[in-house]
Amino acid sequence: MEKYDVAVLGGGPGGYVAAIRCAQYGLKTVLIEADELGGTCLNRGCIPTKALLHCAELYESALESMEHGVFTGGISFNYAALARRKDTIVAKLRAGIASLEKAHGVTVIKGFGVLQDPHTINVNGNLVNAEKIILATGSAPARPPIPGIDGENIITSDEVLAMTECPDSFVIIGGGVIGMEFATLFAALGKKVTVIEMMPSILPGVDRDIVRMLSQILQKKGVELVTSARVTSLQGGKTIKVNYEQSGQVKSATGACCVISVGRKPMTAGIGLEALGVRMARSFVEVDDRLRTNIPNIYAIGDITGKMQLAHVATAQGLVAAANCAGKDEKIDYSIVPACIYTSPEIAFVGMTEEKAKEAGKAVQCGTFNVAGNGKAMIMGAKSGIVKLVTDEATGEILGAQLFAPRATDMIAELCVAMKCEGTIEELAATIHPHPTVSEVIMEAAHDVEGLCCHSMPKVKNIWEKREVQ
Amino acid sequence: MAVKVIMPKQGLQMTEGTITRWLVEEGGTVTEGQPLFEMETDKLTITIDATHSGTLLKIIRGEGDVVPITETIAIIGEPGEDYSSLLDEGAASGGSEAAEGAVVIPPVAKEAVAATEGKRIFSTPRARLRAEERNLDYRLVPGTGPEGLIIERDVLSYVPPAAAVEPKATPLAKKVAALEGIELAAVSGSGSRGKIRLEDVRAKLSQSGSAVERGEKVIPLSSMRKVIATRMHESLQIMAQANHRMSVDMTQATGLREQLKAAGIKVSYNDIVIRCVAKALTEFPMMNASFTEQAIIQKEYVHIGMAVAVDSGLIVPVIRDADLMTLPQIAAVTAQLAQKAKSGALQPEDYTGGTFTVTNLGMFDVDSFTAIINPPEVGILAVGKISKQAVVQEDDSILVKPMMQLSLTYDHRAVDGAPAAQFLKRIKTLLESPGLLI
Ligand SMILES: Cc1cc2nc3c(=O)[nH]c(=O)nc-3n(C[C@H](O)[C@H](O)[C@H](O)COP(=O)(O)OP(=O)(O)OC[C@H]3O[C@@H](n4cnc5c(N)ncnc54)[C@H](O)[C@@H]3O)c2cc1C
Repeated sequence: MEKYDVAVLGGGPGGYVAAIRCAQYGLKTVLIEADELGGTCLNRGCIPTKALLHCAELYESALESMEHGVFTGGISFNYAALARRKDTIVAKLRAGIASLEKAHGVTVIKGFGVLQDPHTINVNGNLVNAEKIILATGSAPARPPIPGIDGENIITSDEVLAMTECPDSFVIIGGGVIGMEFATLFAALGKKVTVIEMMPSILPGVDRDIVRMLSQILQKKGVELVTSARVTSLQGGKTIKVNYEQSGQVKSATGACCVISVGRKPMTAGIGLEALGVRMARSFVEVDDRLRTNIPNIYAIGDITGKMQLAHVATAQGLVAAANCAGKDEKIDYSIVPACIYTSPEIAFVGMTEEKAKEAGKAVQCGTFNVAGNGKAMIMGAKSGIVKLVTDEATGEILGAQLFAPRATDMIAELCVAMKCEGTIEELAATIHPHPTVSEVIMEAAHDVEGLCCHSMPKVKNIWEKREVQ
Repeated sequence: MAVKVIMPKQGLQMTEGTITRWLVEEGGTVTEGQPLFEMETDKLTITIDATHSGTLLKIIRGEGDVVPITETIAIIGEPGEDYSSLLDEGAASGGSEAAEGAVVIPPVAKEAVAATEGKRIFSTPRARLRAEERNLDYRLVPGTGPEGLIIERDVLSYVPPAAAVEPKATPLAKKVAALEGIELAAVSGSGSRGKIRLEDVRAKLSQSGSAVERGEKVIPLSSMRKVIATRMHESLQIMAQANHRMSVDMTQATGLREQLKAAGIKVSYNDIVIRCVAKALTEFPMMNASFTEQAIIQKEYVHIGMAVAVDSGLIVPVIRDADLMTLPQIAAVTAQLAQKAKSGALQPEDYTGGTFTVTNLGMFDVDSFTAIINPPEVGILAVGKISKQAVVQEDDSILVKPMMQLSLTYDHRAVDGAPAAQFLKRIKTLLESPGLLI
């Protein structure tokens, strides 16, 4: 039986990075993956969705290119080609991970691993022994027990991302991040989309003003947003029918395909956790801030910990768990975690919203800037968007930021760095931003916190609400 | 042969002592049995005599240094003798601890020191004391004494480079520190390369309670101050302290004092109060107790603590079996204890085991005040000054009388309001008719 210092179970963004870091610390490491390296993120999540979204955005821009004076004529798209391009990117990245593991001396074993005892993993009959184990088995789409959910053409994100042709209309159940990204994708490709969300608004947890603006944009593109609606049953087939209840009334929506995106369940079943007595909380593995489970040598990271189901959180957890396996003492800090939504324009946020900060008893001062007032955004054809910075009135501490702008997902990193380095709003405002870039909106909003924004009209009440309608 | 002088252990509880004064200068002559230095423990200030004769070759730990017991603080030997073997261990640990003790050295300074590591740095105690007062690392000061010895003058004329004064801190930490009036130099940083983060400033804030003013001097806590601070704070945190007050007519007590004086017996008002309290405690044993989570422990003996202000703080010597003593006996004991307290000569048995405390600030012109209970006791009586006051009599006439305010703080976990009031009333009655004492 092979003996290792560390065995990592699951090769997603949590596990594969943890394995490399363990090896960097000089630990003999094995990575066990049942399916493909890169996990959900690379194969069925972040990367493929964003690859498709990029193509859709290109198509949408091409359609709008006449406004920019570019005439291409006969614009169309071929979904099969889009899917192939996505697959090429995924395959390249997958190969990249494989060679990184190899170069760092990590042994990669293909197979489904089951914990036999706290030091032994059974991989399809072969035993792997390890001093320490990092669980990183991730998550899979949840299929809630709605009557008819297993019908024909009722699919989850896994199948959407495996499609080689695109149906003409979609009913998306769930107005969360994944649901809205798919809505954005299909709307851009000119498909009819209906979103059914149980909560009173889509994207719960996101700044309300941004949600309102995004809803308007999507509706303009023909997306139908049905909120406060509970799906009661489904009928699959060539045309699927989704029955739902909204304010006491029974209604239904139809489409060629139904996408279930109501959340993800952790992959904690059937891998031997119960027998070992690993403590769980609602099927998620319980961990402390050092990523330790209740079994001393077993760590857990990523989606199975139920903290934040984000690839970069899984990775950050993986690095901390690896450090702790190497005898260091590191803790994870979730206070500054950016979240990104790849709608059009993009949404990105970090820290507290104005509401949350007020709830926390802070005296807040906000700065906002309308993206429409930014030269580069205008050049790029962006028509609306907003930046909001939430700060502590007394200290200028940056408590949070919400961006709804082109490149928001890249720009949010600037705020994360400022917050991590404990910069205050003054440093942000005094940082010379390159011109013309969309990033200037952050500087403008920072100036606005002090009421000294040169590129917005003198303050009248609710200035940006007025502008938003333009 | 050269010998080490170590920090002596005085009393069971002592773990460290503060050197307050060297009575012999470095290079001076020391005679066995003669005073060598003064030190302060958590309870007392004492003079320590030399255990060897010779020359005080080196003072390793200077005035103000807090030194763990048994650590080497000086070397005595023959002039010119090589004592380096003794010094190495002492000085090495001494140097670093002296630096970390009271004053936090800016992280930048630490880096600079690291660069000179390995090179031994000699300095005089006065130089180190001055450096500490000025909140700078004496090891950075270029020495102009013999063989580069750092002397007081060097420290006084030293202008630290700007970077050493301004420690690295995040913008937010700087801002919050400025808002709260905290000096960054007094905050140790936990960020990368010692950078001060918001968290560090917050920690400092909560630890100091109130902010240190800009431009003020940082006075390291003496052992006694630390004990007083923790005990008093603890007292208010763990107990349910409530307070009653009464005015007492001291006409009779004054008369009694005059009578005794005429008979050649000197008693203070405080002695009379202590005598009355001792008697009242025998009648109200619930006030002569201590409270635990499981039970209330009533003491059958009455040991009254008497708060005494000393230069460095406060100490509470105990009058044992005060209830069994006559007033003149109490007077004799209190006089003796007060004298010992002032000269720092109290022994542990003199200040432990009290069952109730009396504290008097009358001599400082205080009318009335609330005292904090000395745990594990359940009560403390605060006594104010005696002043002549116009008192309205039963028949509405007005008489001028010597009046005094009593303030009883009691632990409401153990004692309720009514019995506490009765106890206080009893003390008042006894003071107003001291004949009852007999
Ligand atoms: C459509 C979609 C879009 C997303 N977009 C984003 C985004 O834009 N940004 C973002 O941050 N996050 C995004 N996510 C979330 C992100 O993909 C996950 O948070 C992330 O992949 C979690 O990483 P992980 O390492 O915990 O697990 P996973 O990525 O789920 O990887 C777990 C791996 O473990 C393997 N495994 C499971 N059990 C075993 C076993 N017993 N033995 C061996 N191997 C096993 C699985 O095969 C899998 O490869 C998206 C998710 C979806 C579904």
